[in-house]
Amino acid sequence: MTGASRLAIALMAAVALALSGVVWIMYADLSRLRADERAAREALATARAVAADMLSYDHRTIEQDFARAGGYTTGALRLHYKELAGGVAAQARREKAVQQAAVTGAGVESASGRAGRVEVLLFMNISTVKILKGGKEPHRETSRNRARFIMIQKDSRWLVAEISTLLGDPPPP
Amino acid sequence: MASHAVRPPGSRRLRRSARPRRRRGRLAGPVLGVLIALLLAVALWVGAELRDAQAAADDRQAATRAAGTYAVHLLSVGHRAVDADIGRVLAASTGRARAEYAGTAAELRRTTVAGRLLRAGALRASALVWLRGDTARVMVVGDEVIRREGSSDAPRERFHRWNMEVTRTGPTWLVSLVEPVS
Repeated sequence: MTGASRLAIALMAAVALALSGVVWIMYADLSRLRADERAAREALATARAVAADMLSYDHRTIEQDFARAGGYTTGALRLHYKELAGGVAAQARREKAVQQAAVTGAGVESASGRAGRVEVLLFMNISTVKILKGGKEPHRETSRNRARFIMIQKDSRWLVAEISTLLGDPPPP
Repeated sequence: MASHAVRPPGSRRLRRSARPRRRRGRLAGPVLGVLIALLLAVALWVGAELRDAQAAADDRQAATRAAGTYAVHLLSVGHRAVDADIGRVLAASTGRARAEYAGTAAELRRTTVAGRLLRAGALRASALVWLRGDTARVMVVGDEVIRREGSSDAPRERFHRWNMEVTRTGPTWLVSLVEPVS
């Protein structure tokens, strides 16, 4: 083998190595983008499916309702749900309250597949029927809400880690 | 026989082991050539996929941002710079959204100036529902505070939910449909 052909082979090897590097970097980037898309799709579907269940209850089955809702949560929200169940349950039974939530829209604010974190915006209409203190007839009210669900992926399952009502400080004049 | 006699000991073994090395050397070129061709093909394919995926991600972000910016403009109209404020809303919209706003702009201008109104808007959230080609649907949440300059009345707060359609118009995304969600 001559010196020139040795040099040509060394150059070709260097080109192949550099190309491998470029392909690897591009593939990693593509995988990240696809993971973000997949995370957004999955978390959105989960949030849409569980949101109504999480915010609905019937005074006759409130313990089961909250226990089921707690199963969709993780972290601090799970603890918060347990505390909430204790407080709300007594009042709901007293008022014979039935709350029904309906999701009227859902979209993705941000998604990171690698971090396993997706922010989902939900439009919800919540109707509540209850008997107010001193009243006999059921009182019905409907509120139009917006909520941000922060979804976290745990063991390939999407769970709700935070719920925000998106109420902030009023905008400055 | 004589040549055998002058050959140094072990030279036959050396020549034999050099043959496969030379063969390997001859093979290295074509093998590397095929490898480079394959890597180039993969790079082109991955590059095209990456370009499409990145463009879609950029579009999602741009469409969502356009709807959010429009919402803030829509909620931020004050008597001090009413024409510029209305102009900003019109510049960020197209199609039906622009036509509808343009149709109410004169009345809005009149009431804003007459009432010395100052409306300040804030974007609470914007989220993509879908993106198909050059059109996207975005959910937007915005709040506004309305006060009357020089008045001691408490400012009024209003909360808004919208579904907006955003359309790519040249290099930018403009809001083409605004539907309040009641």
